[in-house]
Amino acid sequence: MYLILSIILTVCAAIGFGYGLFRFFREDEALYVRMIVFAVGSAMFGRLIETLQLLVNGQISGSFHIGMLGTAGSFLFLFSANYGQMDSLVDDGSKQFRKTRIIALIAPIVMIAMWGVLASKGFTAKTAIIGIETLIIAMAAYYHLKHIIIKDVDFGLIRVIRNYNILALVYAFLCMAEILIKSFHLSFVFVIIVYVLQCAVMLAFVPVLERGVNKWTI
Amino acid sequence: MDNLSYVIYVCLTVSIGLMLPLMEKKTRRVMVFMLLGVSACLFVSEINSILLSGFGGDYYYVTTNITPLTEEIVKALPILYYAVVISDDRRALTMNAFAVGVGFAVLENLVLLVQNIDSVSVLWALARGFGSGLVHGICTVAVGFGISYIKKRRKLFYCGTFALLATAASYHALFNILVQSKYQYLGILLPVITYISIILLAKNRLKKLHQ
Repeated sequence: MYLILSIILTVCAAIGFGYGLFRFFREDEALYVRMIVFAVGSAMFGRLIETLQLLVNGQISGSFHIGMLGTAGSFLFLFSANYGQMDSLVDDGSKQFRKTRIIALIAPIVMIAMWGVLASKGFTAKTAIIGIETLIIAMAAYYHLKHIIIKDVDFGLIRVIRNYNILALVYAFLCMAEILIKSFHLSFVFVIIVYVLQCAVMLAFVPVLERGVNKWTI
Repeated sequence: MDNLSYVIYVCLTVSIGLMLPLMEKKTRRVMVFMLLGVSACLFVSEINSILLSGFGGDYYYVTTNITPLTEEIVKALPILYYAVVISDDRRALTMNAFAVGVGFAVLENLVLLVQNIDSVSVLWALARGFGSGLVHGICTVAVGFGISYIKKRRKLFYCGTFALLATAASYHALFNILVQSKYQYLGILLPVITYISIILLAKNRLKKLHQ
């Protein structure tokens, strides 16, 4: 059953990535958008590796498996896009946004708290590796929440891609939820719910972003 | 036979190295990067041996989960150095990156050839050449090409580089898993299809630029 869910999720991520390549890989396209397409691509590679390992070995063994890098890479791309490209356009570092910056910390705190639940079971090599992954997810989640709640005073760039940021934040939460569900061997119903939602996010990621980005030129 | 990879390394680098002073500047640069790729392969083989013993000799686990990461990191080092210290010109970075990848694959294939001398065939050589040769080239090019974009902004550079490495290692691992499974032929097709797509995309771009 895991294998079937993994295959479906890989296909959804591949469709999302393919759509992104088709729509956004022109010479004049913004780097921000390309990085988000690469984030979906990286997630796809990670899922593909998991699917293959399930297909070939029937299980994913070891405290570290390379599929984790796909998820980590995906959030690193999302984080880099927001931190390196977008954030400086909407936050000049002034006191005006201090409250926003503090409220945005809720997202990484929630992610780290979710990891804390896992760590409370016992600290192992696997917990430590997941901790690094959590840190990357938390960093990305901070900027997603910040860009959802920030007052877009100058350009209106962030306002139009708010839905994308909501989606990315949901994706971050789902990835953490997946880790917890698998680690605690919770009911398979939860696994199905998380996978189905991730499929929806993977399919919606680029089209939702595209809808917002199209308004940049208006 | 312990020093086999060193023997091959010396044979390769000395003869190519002697040719370097006679080459044009651009060609020389590419060849130097190819030699750096060969050296990276030798260096990584030592690291991988240590890792293999660290993981209790579990060859399958190490080659599908660990070595893609170590190999991509070491191959990226000369490219990162070039991008940071010398130039972030996209064309040069892409060419250098491909040279590093190919250099790496050359030594890897030669060592494997000598180690499996009794069982190799032309088919084996084709599979290694198109499979592993292209995978190493494509992964390093992806990192080099990506760095040329993100190098321009410091804030993007650090995390962006890690993201590129993670993606390249994932792609590499995908190949390693496939070639060690019953879907071997897919493993060889994967880099070939990727390579053809990249070439077509690059040609389309050049055509549009000329128009």
